[in-house]
Amino acid sequence: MIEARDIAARHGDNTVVRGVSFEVADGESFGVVGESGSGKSTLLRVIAGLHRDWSGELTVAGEKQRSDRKRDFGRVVSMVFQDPYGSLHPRQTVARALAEPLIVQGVGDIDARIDAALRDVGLDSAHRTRYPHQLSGGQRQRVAIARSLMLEPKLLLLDEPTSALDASVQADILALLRRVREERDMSFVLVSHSLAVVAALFERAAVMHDGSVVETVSAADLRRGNLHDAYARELFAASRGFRRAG
Amino acid sequence: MTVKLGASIVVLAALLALAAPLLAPYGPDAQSLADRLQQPGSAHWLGTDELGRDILSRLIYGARVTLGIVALVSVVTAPIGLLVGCVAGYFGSWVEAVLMRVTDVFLALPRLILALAFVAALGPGIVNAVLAIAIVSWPPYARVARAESLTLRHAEFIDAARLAGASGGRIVLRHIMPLCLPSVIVRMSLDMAGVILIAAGLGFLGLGAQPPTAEWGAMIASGRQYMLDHWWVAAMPGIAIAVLSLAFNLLGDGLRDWLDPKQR
Amino acid sequence: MTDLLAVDNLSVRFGDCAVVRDVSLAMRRERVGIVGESGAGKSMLGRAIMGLLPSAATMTGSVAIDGAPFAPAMRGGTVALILQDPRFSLNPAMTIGDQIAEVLRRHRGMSGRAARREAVAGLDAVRIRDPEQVYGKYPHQLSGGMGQRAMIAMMLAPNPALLIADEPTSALDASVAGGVLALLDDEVTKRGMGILFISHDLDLVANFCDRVLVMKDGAIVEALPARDLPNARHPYTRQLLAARLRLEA
Repeated sequence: MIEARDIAARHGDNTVVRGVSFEVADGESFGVVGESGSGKSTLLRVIAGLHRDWSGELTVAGEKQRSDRKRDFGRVVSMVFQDPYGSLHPRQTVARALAEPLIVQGVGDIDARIDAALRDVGLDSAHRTRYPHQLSGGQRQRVAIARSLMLEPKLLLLDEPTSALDASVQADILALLRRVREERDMSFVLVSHSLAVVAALFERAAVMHDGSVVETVSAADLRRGNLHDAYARELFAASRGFRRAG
Repeated sequence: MTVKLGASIVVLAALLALAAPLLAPYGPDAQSLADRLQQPGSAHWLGTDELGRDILSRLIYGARVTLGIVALVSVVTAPIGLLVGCVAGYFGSWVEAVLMRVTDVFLALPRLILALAFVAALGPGIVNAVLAIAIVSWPPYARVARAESLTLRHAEFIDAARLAGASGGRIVLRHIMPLCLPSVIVRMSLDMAGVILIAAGLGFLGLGAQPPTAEWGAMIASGRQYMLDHWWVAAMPGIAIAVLSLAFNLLGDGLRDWLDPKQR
Repeated sequence: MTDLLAVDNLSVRFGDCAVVRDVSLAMRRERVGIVGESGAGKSMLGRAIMGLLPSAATMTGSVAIDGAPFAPAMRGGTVALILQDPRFSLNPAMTIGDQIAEVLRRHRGMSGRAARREAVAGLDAVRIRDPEQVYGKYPHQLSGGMGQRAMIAMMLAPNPALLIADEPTSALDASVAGGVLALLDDEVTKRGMGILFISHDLDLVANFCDRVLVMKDGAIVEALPARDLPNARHPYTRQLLAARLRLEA
């Protein structure tokens, strides 16, 4: 699904991603863990075509990608963003937000698809006419996930989808993502600062630090802390939580 | 509170203007040389001018001209400014540079003088006055809209629309412009005070509505020579201009406060 | 011995909406954690104790520090507050050093030079490398971890008796948070302060504090010693426990 070789990306004068190479097979779930400034979000945006200043070779769904994406890229790749408060247009109802991808790509049967999508994420048609400020953070994120599935993409990119949510809501959203993955034949790439989140959902993960991938492990090894790289081990230790001195 | 006060005055003026034929005690052109330069009194509440015409009635009919100009100018300038600003703010790079430099050129020139130049070139009259004022009034909206779109450009819901395949044009029209509207509306209300003054200025110089049409600026001009002994002829239209400008200012100020917290 | 902090029937309302309902708590010089999800009212509680509520809020009930009813003068001197994001809680227009020095001049009556020296020493004590250089920096020039350390230095400069920490490490990366927490741990023990630790992170609160108060919808639903947390009774607490994502094999 994804073949990335030597991807480098910059923000102005800063190189935020250096020489990253990885592969994601069809139907596979892949996690990218890193702290702020590691370049993980930029990497995801490069794949999505939202970040222009990059170099290297990138093949998504069999097609080589350059700076611009083709118009129907949205039918193959979709994304869920971190901030549920920012990823929905404040003046558009839920129905309007969900209809947008369909309208843009000329897909018909809009109402039926909207209802089906809302059901899929655990909301109901009463939510169609709500505005984002009338929904809770968890509900907004569900709408964002529903929106990302409207065009039935083959690859779903997720940028810290639960960081801004409470623990219990996070658990719900992760369960939803697990279910979506089971029901559909899709590849997932999820970026998070939380080792626990990545280990909970994914089969393989890459640990990023300062723009490079320092280690790639299986989820099982991640959970056990079977890590070789020094930074990765440090991150694992920090993720276990604070232990009091006295 | 300011919104209500400003809005009520504006609405009152608008109602007066619309219902002019029903409310004005006399026709605006009804001359009566025997009654010229009468002091404000029971027959003529605001007095009469040099041709014996009732000033109150002329003010009411004049409101039509003034508010008409304000409305026309807004309808023309706001959409243009909004579009230019949003396109500049969203697309950035050379598009923004070109559009903003054009905007800067228009902003750099003094409004009244530029309006005068246009009217001088096009000839006097209400329509040309509207055109002239519109040409100099759109840049501030472009600035405001551009500022808003600069922040919106990076919003995640815009990213989502781009990813779904929406074209730049669609994003600007359907996603960005609706969000810039509140700021533009506020700016519009504040600007209207300025438009009233420019319109009155043009009228004062004889370049706006032509006689015998009642227009506040022109009324001040013709009342000038009688100022010392018959102050009301020039003062009444002057007060009307001041009050209406103030009303729009209050409206704009209040609107800004009212719309802001919601935006946050 | 009087309580360090005594809160009695504290309620905070915004119009008809009660965000804190009838909360009472008493603490000595110990570590008390307040845990709950967003909207639970825990931040409002912290602010209410400090008298820092927005003007639209009405407060009923009482707050007493060391037996005396709370007075605004206590803020900064006896009671200090650490917030989540130093970029927003420090004055962006003053250098770090100047802000700390100002606190020292106001609360400990130090002269300009002495305050400056003490401020640098304070920055050093929170393990900031090159404190002289950081003295002259502005808040936006510091990384999250350094900013929080500077914030701690500033807040602890007047030697408060009670520290209220509202999500002090939530905005920090895991690796940086550990260091800041260790610092807080150290300082609180060293100075014998009481700390009211507000967080949504149950594990963190359980590890850092002696006692835990669980808040939901403005009220305290359960209060228990930190080590008893796994045996919590209240269904909401159990729900929070279950929702934790653990890195386990």
